[in-house]
Amino acid sequence: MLKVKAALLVLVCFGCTNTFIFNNQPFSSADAALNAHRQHLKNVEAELKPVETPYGGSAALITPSKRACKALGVTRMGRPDNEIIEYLALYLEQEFSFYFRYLLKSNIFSSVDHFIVDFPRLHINEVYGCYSVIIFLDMKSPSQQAWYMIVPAEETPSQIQMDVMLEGGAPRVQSWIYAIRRALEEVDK
Amino acid sequence: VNETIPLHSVLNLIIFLVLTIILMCITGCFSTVFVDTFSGPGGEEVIGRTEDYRIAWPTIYYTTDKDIAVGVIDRRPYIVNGSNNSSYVGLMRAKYGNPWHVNTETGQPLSHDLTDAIVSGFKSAGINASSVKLSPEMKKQDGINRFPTGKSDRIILVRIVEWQSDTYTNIVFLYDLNAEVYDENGELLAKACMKNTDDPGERQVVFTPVEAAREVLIKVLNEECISKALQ
Repeated sequence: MLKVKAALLVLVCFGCTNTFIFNNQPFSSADAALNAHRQHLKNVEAELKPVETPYGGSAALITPSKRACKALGVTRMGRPDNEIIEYLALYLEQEFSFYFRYLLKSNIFSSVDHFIVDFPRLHINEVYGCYSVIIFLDMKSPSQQAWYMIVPAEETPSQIQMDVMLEGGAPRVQSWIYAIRRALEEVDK
Repeated sequence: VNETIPLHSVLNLIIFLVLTIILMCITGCFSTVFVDTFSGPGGEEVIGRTEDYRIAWPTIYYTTDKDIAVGVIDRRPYIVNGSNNSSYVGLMRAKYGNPWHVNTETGQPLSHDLTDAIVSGFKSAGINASSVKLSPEMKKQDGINRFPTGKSDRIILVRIVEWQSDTYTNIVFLYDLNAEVYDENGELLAKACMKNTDDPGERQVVFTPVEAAREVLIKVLNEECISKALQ
């Protein structure tokens, strides 16, 4: 009977933990979700085709850091907690950083250097004149993000038009690569 | 084995169960009242809440080749008279409406966090900007004098007259901000004000205080007179 009494006292602990979503799949940790995201980006990279006529020269790719993504790229509607904001900032930083690998795979340039910085537009001044082309992501808000490129011959950056009508992933990134190559042809003219 | 349970043991068990249920009811009611004093309408904790205004980078829709120095003076009456500390940024209310203070996440004065946000906003637009940290008790002229001479082409001095959020079932964000642009000689070139000190939350839709802050900074720093003065 004592055993029965003892068994009556049960403590149930409820814990609230965040769920991290990637590709409509829930993950129990940010690391697991980011790993899945990374694998997805590697798959995109594997599908990309190099350009038929390389441009040569050097390129600097400037993408926003986690800090910049946290400040400018994360929508705070619904008051997400800090853990979710951190995850989304890391997700964006990883997403943009992979364009370095895409650019290498494209074979457009002979060499590519990658800079992850808080202020991409300001960093242009640091590398201006050192590369044939500077490519950077300008992020103003979660809904205002665009890729630009600037060549030393021109002072104002021109937007790289990615075909957003295409399916996301490899087809869209491939359109980004072709857009860069086409823009370089225009520069040479 | 044919074993029977004694009657007194069964009675003991029933008494134990009844006492346990009564105890749970008492402690349950008590803990509900207790918890509701410290949790908001959505069940979130309200004690020790913070806001990180350093990430409220305003989008700047112009550019300039001028070097800009930015400083913020906190002239909120309840900060200047010492009623609240300089990291105070508003209130968050528990279920009964009882308020708890919200402070900056850094623990630093609000004016320092806003200085960081504004400088980051300018840098993000490709503009060379630096910060000058000013203390809350400073008056306007003292603030201007703190900017190192000859180091910047333009000085932006932002004065906070009001700045606090009040979070309950909705968020009310009250602000009164003056931005002034001076040239390298300390001559006033432009002034812009942005104010909302009487809206009980009906006119503005605030998702988060940080987003509301960003919107205010965007409006005041993109005023035509400010952008012209920075050219």
